[in-house]
Amino acid sequence: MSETTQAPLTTEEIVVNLGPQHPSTHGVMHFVVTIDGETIRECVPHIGYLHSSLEKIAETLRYEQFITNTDRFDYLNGLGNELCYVQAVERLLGIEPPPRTVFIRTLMAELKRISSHLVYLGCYGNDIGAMTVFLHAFREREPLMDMFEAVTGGRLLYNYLRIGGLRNDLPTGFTDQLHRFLDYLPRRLEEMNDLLTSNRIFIARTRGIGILTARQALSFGVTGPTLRGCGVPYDLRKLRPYAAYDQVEFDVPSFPEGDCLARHLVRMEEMNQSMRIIRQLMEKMPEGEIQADVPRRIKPEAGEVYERVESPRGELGCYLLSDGGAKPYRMHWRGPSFYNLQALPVMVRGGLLADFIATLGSLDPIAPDIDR
Amino acid sequence: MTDSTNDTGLIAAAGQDNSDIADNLREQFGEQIHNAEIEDDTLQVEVAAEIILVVCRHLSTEIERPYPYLSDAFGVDCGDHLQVVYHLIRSETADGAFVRVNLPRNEATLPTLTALYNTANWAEREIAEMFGVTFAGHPDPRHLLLPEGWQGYPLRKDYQRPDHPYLASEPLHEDPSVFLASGPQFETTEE
Repeated sequence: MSETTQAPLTTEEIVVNLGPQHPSTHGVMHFVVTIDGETIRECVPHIGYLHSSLEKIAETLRYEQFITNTDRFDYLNGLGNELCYVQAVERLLGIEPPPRTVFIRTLMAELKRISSHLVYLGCYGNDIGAMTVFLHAFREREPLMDMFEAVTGGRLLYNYLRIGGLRNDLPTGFTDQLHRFLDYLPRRLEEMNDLLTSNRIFIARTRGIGILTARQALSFGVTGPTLRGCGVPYDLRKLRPYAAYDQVEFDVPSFPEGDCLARHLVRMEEMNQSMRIIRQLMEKMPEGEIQADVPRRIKPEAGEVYERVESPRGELGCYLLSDGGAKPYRMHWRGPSFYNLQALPVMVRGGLLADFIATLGSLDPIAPDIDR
Repeated sequence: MTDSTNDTGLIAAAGQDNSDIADNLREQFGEQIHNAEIEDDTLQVEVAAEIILVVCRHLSTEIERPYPYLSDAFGVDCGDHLQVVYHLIRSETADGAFVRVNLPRNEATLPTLTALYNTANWAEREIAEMFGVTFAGHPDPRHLLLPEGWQGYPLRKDYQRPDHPYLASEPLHEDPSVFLASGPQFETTEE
């Protein structure tokens, strides 16, 4: 009876596929995670599922035709992407947009930042198991969507900015709509902070999780709230002001911890700062034209620009090379999510599998922004 | 931003006057670099492929006010040759430097910069598959956005679209010991 030999207890590493279809990966991404028990040993991201060859398509479209495509890669920051693109083309052409246009563009970009951070907030709550926050955040986002619809006609894809101008001015009643929202949102954010940010379970799931040091973040090209959550106050709106950002006062929140909680706190505070910017923009909003004189056929002289703006996810770059024709000879986009995601393996290695989604969600990645 | 910006004490204090860096590069590398100049406070320099690693190390670690980080890298098909552009930055001021390398179309090879910057890993993989540039010594030279085995280099100007849809030939992982499907109902999505 005692003949039965028991094999010695062994452990082995197993491979877990997260994605490509996974409710918490924020789009189509695939991670091959090697785990030893519950601990992540290695994580290899596979991207490209949503690659749409945007840069190649751009070479077949005239400058003014491409604006509508800019909404589509980082779809939570449509107006911000349009801003980056039209600024790049305007710099190529040497056109200065009218002051009112610049203010409205900045206003829309900041509204978009709040809207994007609200989506982050909702999804992140969802990711770590606080579904209520998801519903609340999307409810608060609704008045924003109504405003975008009133101004641009679209709720997600806008095609609102024009080279040297805007499609139309702000509609009547917009100011009231905006002020109602600005009066209402701070209370709601406080409520959500009570619900989520100061919740014990939330803190337990995010503090000290997914740590990225400032040095690692910078060497991986991480930008945006993720970098500011490592204590580096890198914000292009402040460091290289574009649009109307040099005419408003705001702070760049940063938290030194480098964990999921720090990144969350940065975004929560950024919404307050965005509201501060929007109030100042509305106060100082100049009257006047919204369209600069632009040649009928847009044909920039041969040359190149690299335009950078601060998207809700980080540094968005647009490189344009003109050969003097009506279509860009080459267009390249630096998607902030692309480089942010590259740092993910460093953040999850050695952590628990259960914290993987919490870490991924804290990067706020947008899959088409990664794959372009 | 030209001279007028440099006159304000604030900008000078932030160390944005970069004109000496172009001079420094010319002194250091002589004939091997071209068109080193400052435009809008941004350094623009064209270097020979053989010294790209040395120049980047120099710019990132050895000069007085270095550009320690790689922000972005991309390729350009210039017709008779290919170009790879590196965008180096400073994190304190967001100042940038563009370092360019021209490469022959047939034999486009560059040393990898992954030892200097982690950013270079994915950026180089994308340039490699889109432009057909080989990055010698790259630690992970697989395709990034395109499936393995994709024919041709899509962002080259002479790229011919295949006349049949692409079918992936191999699974991503040939012999994984276990497949665990996490989801579609995943525990973290439940309250």
